[in-house]
Amino acid sequence: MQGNFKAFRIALMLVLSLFIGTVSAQTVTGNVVDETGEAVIGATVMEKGTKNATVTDFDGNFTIKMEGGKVLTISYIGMQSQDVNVAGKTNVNVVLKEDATTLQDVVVVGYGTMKKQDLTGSVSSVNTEQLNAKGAPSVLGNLQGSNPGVNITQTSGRGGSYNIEIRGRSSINSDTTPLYVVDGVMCDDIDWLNPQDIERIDILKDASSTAIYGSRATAGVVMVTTKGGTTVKKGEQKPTISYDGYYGWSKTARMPEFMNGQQFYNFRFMKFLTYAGNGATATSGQSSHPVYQIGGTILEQCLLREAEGSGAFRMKEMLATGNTYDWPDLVTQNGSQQNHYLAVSGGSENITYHIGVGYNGEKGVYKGDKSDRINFKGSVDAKINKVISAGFSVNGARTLQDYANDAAVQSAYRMNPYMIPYDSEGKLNAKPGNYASLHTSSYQFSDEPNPMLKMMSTSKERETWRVLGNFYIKFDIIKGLDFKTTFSPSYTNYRQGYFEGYKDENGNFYDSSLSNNAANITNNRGFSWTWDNILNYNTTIANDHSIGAMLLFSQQASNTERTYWAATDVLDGTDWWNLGTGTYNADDSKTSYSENSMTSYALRLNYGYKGRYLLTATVRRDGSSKFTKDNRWGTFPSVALAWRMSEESFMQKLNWLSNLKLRLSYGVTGNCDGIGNYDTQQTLSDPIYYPFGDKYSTGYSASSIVNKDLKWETSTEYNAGIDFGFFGGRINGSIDVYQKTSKDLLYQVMLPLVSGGGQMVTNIGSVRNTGVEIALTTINIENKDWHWETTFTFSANKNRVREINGTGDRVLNGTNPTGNYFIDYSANNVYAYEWGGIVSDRDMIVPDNQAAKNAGLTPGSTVKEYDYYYKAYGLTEGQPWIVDQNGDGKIDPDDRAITSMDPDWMGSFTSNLSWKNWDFSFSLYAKVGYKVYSSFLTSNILDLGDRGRQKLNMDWYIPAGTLVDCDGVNEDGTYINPKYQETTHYGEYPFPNNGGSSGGVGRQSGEWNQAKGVTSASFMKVKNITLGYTFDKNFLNKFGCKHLRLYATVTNPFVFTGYKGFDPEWANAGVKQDGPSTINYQVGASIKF
Amino acid sequence: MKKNIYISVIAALFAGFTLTACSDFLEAENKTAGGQTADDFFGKDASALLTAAYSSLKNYAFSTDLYSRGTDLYIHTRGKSVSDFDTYTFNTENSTISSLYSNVYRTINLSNGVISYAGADSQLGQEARFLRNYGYYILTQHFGGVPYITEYINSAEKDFPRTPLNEVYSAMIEDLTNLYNSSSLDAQSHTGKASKQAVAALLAKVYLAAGWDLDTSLGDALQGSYNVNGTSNFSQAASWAEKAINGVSLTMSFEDKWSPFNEGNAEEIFSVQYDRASYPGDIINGGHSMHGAFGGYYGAYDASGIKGVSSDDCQSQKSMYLFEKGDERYAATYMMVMYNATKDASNKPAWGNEGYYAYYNCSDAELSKMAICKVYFPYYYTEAEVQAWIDAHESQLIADKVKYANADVRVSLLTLPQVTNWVYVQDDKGVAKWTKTKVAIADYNAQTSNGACVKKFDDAAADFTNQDNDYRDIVLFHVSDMYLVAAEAYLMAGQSAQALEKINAVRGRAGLPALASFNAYQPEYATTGNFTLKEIDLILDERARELYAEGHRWMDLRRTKQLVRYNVQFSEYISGEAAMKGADGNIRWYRPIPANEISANTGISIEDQNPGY
Repeated sequence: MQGNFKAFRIALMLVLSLFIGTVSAQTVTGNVVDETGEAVIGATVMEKGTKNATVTDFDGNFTIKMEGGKVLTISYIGMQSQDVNVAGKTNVNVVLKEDATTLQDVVVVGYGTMKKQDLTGSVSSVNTEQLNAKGAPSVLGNLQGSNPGVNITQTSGRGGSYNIEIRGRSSINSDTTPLYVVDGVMCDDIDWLNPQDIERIDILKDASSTAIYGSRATAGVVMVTTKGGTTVKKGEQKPTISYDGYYGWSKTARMPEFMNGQQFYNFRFMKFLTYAGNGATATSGQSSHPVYQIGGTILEQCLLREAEGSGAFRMKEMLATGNTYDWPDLVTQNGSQQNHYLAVSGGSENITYHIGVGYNGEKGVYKGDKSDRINFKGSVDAKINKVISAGFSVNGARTLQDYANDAAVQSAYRMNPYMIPYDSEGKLNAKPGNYASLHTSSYQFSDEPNPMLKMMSTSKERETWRVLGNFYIKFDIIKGLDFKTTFSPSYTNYRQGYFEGYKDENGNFYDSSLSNNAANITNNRGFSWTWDNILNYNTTIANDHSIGAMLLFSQQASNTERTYWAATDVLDGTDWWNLGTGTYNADDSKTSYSENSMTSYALRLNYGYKGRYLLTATVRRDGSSKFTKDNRWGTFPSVALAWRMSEESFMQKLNWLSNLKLRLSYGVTGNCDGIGNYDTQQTLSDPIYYPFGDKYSTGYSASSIVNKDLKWETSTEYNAGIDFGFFGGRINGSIDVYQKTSKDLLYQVMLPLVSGGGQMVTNIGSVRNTGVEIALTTINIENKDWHWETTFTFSANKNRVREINGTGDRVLNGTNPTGNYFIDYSANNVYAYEWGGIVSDRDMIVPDNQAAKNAGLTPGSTVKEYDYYYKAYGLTEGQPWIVDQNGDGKIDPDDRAITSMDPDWMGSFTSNLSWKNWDFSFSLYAKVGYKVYSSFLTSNILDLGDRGRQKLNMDWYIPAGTLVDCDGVNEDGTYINPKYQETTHYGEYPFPNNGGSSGGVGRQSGEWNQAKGVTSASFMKVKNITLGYTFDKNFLNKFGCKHLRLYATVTNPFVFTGYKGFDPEWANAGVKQDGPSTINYQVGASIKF
Repeated sequence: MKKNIYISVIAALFAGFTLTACSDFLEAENKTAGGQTADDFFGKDASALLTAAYSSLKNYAFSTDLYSRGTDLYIHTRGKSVSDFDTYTFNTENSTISSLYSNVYRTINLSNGVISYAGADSQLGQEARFLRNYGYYILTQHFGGVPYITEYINSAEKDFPRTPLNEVYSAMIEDLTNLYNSSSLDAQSHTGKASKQAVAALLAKVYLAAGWDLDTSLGDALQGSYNVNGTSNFSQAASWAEKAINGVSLTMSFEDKWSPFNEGNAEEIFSVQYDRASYPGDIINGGHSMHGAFGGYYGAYDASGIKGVSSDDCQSQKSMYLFEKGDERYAATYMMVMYNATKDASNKPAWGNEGYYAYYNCSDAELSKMAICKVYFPYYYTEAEVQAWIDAHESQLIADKVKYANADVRVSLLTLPQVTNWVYVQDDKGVAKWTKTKVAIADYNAQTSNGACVKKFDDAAADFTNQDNDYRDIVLFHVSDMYLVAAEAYLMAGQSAQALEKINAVRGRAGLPALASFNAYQPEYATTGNFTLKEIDLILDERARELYAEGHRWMDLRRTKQLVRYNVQFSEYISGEAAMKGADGNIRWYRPIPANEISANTGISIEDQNPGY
């Protein structure tokens, strides 16, 4: 301590003496390098407070003649500006630091920015480099795994639609989409922005940060700052031109293991085995260990004999010659992605501007899935005089999306390997599984049309325009006090057209199941505006007390209108552009209009004492037109405290500690997303048409019963956090724990069925999310050539339903396994039967329960499994058994179990390694302890009830002695060249056969069909691996270029999971939205002039 | 100075905010409803609400699960899944049952709405009262006593306890009797409107059900035995059935009665209306799907030219032997002959004037030359007779897989335990040959084209037979049903002679000789064990023949207390009485009160659940 002070004093005296010694004009020479020691070319060197300036040369050298000042300001784009005192010096060497750290130091919060060190709430941030490193074409895809507590899930295998959940599900009725604020304007989504145009994203997570957005903030707030606008530095003279772009190829990957020719043959053969001596559909009367047989006619039908009683078995023939087909391969293709963004920014003393234009193109793995997006943006900020400044920014996009035929996608995975895609002339078969394609006369698989033709048969296109702008005037009234009024209009329009019924050159429909063409068009126009008026005051009293106050008055209104028109038999070749040529009816033309408005007041106070003790308090009051007068207004307060312990004198001696801050916060936020604009008014239903004789009358009923007392959902959140930095920032991180309790949840309650069975939105129930979030960044190696930095994030959230008012401890969604709620269980759950295993011929101990007693078995004795399950449940060998949770001998709804669909924890790991000009990075993302209710596994792909459609290659149980193949059946019923299963094959899936309910699955087939969908989907993904090279500035300067980096990225190269469907992320996706994941290979460049 | 200006501007702005905040900025206008609420609208004219009430009948006018399955007449073939309704394994969360319950109550609530806006005795209110009572009739048959509600529920009211069954019946009887006696309803209507005739028919059905439910007691369920404790309800049922018959005698042929070109005929009393011609919505799916139920599968309709039938609700073994020789109703109920359709260059079959619908859309002269692809003879034909028929129709039985959508020609003789199949098919060289095989019924049922399908609900103009494209009215009450209601009521009231007279009238129209007595009836279907014929069996068999597939069966068996006896004896899916019992050991005579209702309606608790659940 003592020594430190001495050194300080000496340094001070030294500086002072230098200062005194140089009063006259001087010439200063110097050299400017960056942190790696490389010369900075073209850096501005300016005498502070004057217009006297020069720039550095190729070697980073400069010479400047001072005009009496003592301080030089050295600045360069992308670097932190530095003031250098040159008093008494003739030569200085300056090292400029990269600017990235300054970006980290400021955080965007609601209606303003804040220094990170002054922050009291929980906010996590991502900058443009981090955001774009992942190479995903969408913003949310890039954001995935970057922030602890932010759960982003891709919901479909087709195109990028994402579900985002911040700190768990706080509502059970409305979705969990957070509020997006783009350059200060509230917005419904951000995926229309070009990722390269985004400067940074700040995610406000705790209620003290979000409460300033009041009624819309419960699900968290995502603050997006685009390039330009607020980030162009004032006074920057020279325009900067930058280009960022990549081109990529995507290949389908990790296709589920579907049956090949041999496997499907085996499956189908067994699927036609029937109980010996019993009727094909009998469910009772067989033994626990039944024998199966196949009849002559049935065998012909099974193996598709050419004709009844004669000809070859088509399946045997195709298998022998290897002429089977890999349909998933036929219907998918390699996709592509590209993204380009060109921007110009610059300015003069009083005006700055930023202009950008971007293009994003994607081609999906299904023919017809593609998207094209053009982004354009411009912003100007001007200082008009000392008091007034004004500006605007406009960000727009036009997106054109084309969609592959949904039914074709679904059908593509129903085609078995024996269905023949092409005829002998190479033309597509209309129905790959019918007589004509198979060249049979008596037997066929099905009349399902060729999915490849179906894909050619339709066209669906959506064109979306989005324009988001803001126009502001700001008055700097007196020092520290300013007033800003901002008007932000937002316009969205989409037009969706659909046409089905394209024809081939012969004038026949590609899709032979169509008999006329049909087209429709939807136009949806939305306009909203927000008018924010903000009064801001900042001052410091007696050096130690910093005070900030913000007062907001805001109004907002939005409306949407929609038109829909459909017609059939329209003129060929006109798609949806000439519907008048077709026929249409009343039901096919619809229009609607909807509006809402909101008025808000907010106040925020910041207080800091010596930069150590920080307090933030906010309150917002919102009034919304969605509610009736009495419930219109909601108040949302928050308060937060922070203590920067590391600034305390007693901490200063701890050299290893560079930062330590404790944070505590409390806040209340609201949500009304689950309520429609008119949910508190009872209006009329859609028209109902009913004929008396041949005259139609139009009827109406009242829309469903409404609750006039609806009010906001509110969440109360407590957050405690700690930010730390050790060893001069070599180790940095934060830990947050929170508890968010949401109540008065908007929920559709079932009315008594006697009132007609409607539902009514009402405020009931409560959900609590409790969780922990950890982020840790360490700089592992840092020297001249090497830099290695790793970031680890971890988050765990526990979601519990706490109250479901007035309806007991559960609310059931009919017999649907999802959408049920139970007190003390997660709101994301599946309520389903549990699949215990396959009834085998092994021994088991009889359990001690009612089921065993009913069956007349002695608990504790040893019996064959098939005897036990037959006597107790009527199941026979090879059938799946469902866990009898209460052991009462009946499998009924009481035997369903509740399984949480929340992951136990999520984590990510990012590594950035650089060596000289090379950089190498990768990131991992994992969800652990993650269960899903898979649509894929409950679809036909695992349905033993059908025998013609493609199946997942399941390893099924085969009882010893089962006939597994033969070449025919003699008149006397004996088999030609039979093959039998010699020993029992203990497969994990049921034995397929034609006996009993749904293909031999047995009495519990309905329950099994549900139970098999509940499966683990834990995964770890390598999201991206990137290798980049940044060129030497010296070299680049010859071409007038400031920066050039080339890189190659592989995205989603590896996924580790036990899930059997397409991708564990979209395991819940419906079959039409399902599809394989892809590996993308990209090459890209980033250039600045 | 300048600063003061800025400050005043800002102050003025803030003052402005406070003012705007007070205005009606926060009132959202609902332009789609013309700014009106439902109350405003119906207060002026409730007729649109009545239309909605009529239309709500569509939701439950047809359901195979609820009205046909779990009985003696229908089975699933081609490995189609057995329904919970066949096996009596449905539970309190069954969505079909809760939909029935809430859909019927929707009719009731809409009707009560009409009554509350227009008045019970207004023209609109009278029609609404008929609909409300029809709703309660369906509810009592499936659930027993249910909450009897006559006020319009338009708030989140939750307390509606069950009303005892006898009180529901007497309230319905009182309301309907009063309606019949003092109403200005039309005497009859063939355009789907409530009429006096319809009120009488409903009263007859309510009295008959009340007679069984209140005045008889169950002996042994497996034996189907019961004691009759009173006859007044039965006598009333008979007299109201006579009023509903209204002197209409059964002169129209059975085939004509169900002809698609004879809708709204003299025998129709009340029906749910459909009309293809001016349907304002999506024509493909704006109808119902009755035409696609009840029969085998003949291939995709757009490949075969034969209507798309599901393989569900095909003939059970009892149904195969239900009709006796000479009963004209067999050929009028089932499509015995299906015509082949030629196909075009893209293998599409001709439609309407060829294939299945040629039967309706072509003249007899045209049909006599048209190619035939499928023929179904009932059991009472002999092989020789079938062979003779084949020989006589040689020119129409053409195997030509190039020209016709159906490559082979099949003639089936639907006998047990084996079906005889004549198949005429071309080989690769184009040479056609007949084969005749006998196929065990189980194997036969596993194939396509197995068995005849029901044609009573065919819409000759249907395009998409795998969709809701049937625009035939769904007839809920008609005259011959009333004859059989009267017969049952007379029998139960002890007036066997009158009962037999009504049955013979029905049989006579079908071309059958009169039965001299109930005992003279001898069915052709096989029975096992100690099944001995009762008088009620003739009533039920006659109802099965006359009303096949119309959706009365389950209600008939429950009402007459024969549900267990018939299922155990005839159903493929019920092995014994135990299979129809719930965990509490009680027989499932009724459907369960839906779990949703028990949780949402505070007036009904678990203790109020029907026995067996």
